[in-house]
Amino acid sequence: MSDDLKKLMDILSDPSLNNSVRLGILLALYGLESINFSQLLKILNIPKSSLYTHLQVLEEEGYIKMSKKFTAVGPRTFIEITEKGKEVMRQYSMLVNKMSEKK
Amino acid sequence: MERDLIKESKEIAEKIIKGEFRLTIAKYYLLWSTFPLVLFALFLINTRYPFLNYPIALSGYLYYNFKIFLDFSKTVERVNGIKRRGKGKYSVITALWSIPTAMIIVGLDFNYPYLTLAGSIFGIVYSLFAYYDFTKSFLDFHYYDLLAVITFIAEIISIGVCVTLKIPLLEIMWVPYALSWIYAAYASFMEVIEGE
Repeated sequence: MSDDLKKLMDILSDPSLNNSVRLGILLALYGLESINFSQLLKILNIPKSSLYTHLQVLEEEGYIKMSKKFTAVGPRTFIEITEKGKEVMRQYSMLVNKMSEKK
Repeated sequence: MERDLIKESKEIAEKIIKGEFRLTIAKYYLLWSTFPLVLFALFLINTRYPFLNYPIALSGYLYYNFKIFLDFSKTVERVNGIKRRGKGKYSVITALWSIPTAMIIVGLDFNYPYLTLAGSIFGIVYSLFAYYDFTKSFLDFHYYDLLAVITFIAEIISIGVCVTLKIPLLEIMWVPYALSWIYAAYASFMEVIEGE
């Protein structure tokens, strides 16, 4: 097994990232930096409770942080990626791209 | 299994990014829907140097236009993890409409009907090209996008007709365009945003 593949397996073996919804959200946040909860809910079209659970798992691992902010249309929950989240996604993107180039 | 996880997560990330693209388009519609009104106000205020009004209004609008689309391009670049070619493609495509509009306005102001006609033809060709390009991109094309394209083309045609037949309805022709673009902005926002 190559070093890159081993590193990628290590990232994906993290229980909080071993789920396509959580990994997808974190990957999108790596690009967007932040997004609000209602926007994410509408785009993903999954039950509110399961989205909240996914986000809680990511927050507990320190990949994201959630905060309530007041906006022109009322209070909204914002989800932001942390430095730890950015670092893991930087490595993940690099490894996935390296491996797809090798193919 | 890991391959499925990588593929599915990328699809989910792309879905979220697609939502962000719709928000960018909403900002674009809202931005340009106000352009005729701002231009009209400038022509009322600045009567001494009217030729400066269009460049003044346009520079501000183009700056913001480039900014929103370049911000979006950076987002896509980070998610894909690679530098994309044609990064500013949407900034350029979406800003191009200012050229036929400039030709029409200059043609009208300085009485060059052929410039107005050339601007109208350019505007129609450009609208059809932009429509074709956006339907091929990862934007889901909806009826309000089509409405925005149609009213833009209709506005250009109506300007041509008004100038040729000397019908004094030029200022009113901006109204359907502005209203439909405001509606397209509202519908685009509603597509991705709802109350908590």
